[in-house]
Amino acid sequence: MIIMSDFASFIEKQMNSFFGDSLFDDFIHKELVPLVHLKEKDSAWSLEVDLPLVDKKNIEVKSSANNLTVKAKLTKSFCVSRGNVLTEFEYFKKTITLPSGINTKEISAKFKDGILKITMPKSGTGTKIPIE
Amino acid sequence: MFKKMEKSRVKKLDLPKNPTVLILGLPGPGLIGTMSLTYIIHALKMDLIGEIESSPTSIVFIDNGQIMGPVRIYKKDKIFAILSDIPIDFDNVTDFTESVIDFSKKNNIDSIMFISGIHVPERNVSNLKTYGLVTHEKLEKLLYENEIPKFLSGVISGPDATILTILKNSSIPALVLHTECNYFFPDPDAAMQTIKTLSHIIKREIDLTEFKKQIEYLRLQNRQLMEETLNVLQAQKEPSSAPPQIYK
Repeated sequence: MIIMSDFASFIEKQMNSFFGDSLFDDFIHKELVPLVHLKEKDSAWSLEVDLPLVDKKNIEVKSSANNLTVKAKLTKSFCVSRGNVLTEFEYFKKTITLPSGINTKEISAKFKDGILKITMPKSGTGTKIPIE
Repeated sequence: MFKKMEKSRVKKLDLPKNPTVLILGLPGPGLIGTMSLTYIIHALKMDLIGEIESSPTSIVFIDNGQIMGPVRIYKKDKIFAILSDIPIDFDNVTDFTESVIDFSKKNNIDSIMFISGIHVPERNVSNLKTYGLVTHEKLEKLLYENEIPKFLSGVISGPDATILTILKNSSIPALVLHTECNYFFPDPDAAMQTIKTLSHIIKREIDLTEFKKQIEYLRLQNRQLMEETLNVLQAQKEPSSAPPQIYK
């Protein structure tokens, strides 16, 4: 029988058992990979990044021609145990390839309720195609 | 001339005063079912009494030297709970739900309560709503008594739709609770709202202090399960030419 004397340790034990060998966290650089959701709208792309345990002042967003990187420092370090090895994570980091046709100069970001929302307007330019 | 008033048709409410209920929670939108039911099991100190063996068991977990499957059954007094720690995919959802109904019949369950989430793009975290759907008329009273707005229109897809259809066709009445949530990320705030609603229905006080303390960690710890769940939910959708919504 399972003894759930402490909810937190129960959850941790449970998650580590099922998904302990995290498929996506970077154990070498000690960086957690946040969940993200990218959605296309009429005039822009919207990227949401889930950043629990993060303060707005500790988030860094950088864009280049093709990529966008979000890096955020955790307010408290987060430990993950794999076997007898305990890894301490202090950062979230995620790099995504930008969809084509983004106006990179107009990218904006907003942080609310632990979710970073990045709006990436489409450049709006293109080749006009005649209709016969 | 007055039209003679027809006799009101009131269906007899034959749900027992102290019914035996089964709460069903599995990974879905915002992981509402899993997070809320895990906490309810913990808070009510429910006992592990078994597993659903027909469930897809490609994974087990070990606790105190005991091997346990991912779909487990708990009990406390007249409350049963079936909790899945893995998402139920399209190939297994029918067998899974039939196992739940079979278990309910054998254990004289009066009603099944299925808890899940529904996507709301711009949800208000401080005022999240839980909507209710009932499969049998006699549970309508529960919605009214607990001031739960009825899910009037919308679309439910994925495993929830299959579960709902099978429950609807079963002889055991079911109440389905959908709380407004973020579909793509673990949403402990919505799970907390579900726990509050459910605690009124089952008439058990559930202290949320410990849950509130863990909100940020729950979001962190459940990232992998959320990812797995979205993979299952997305795999069931019709192939689309639209760009992928999730970057990995």
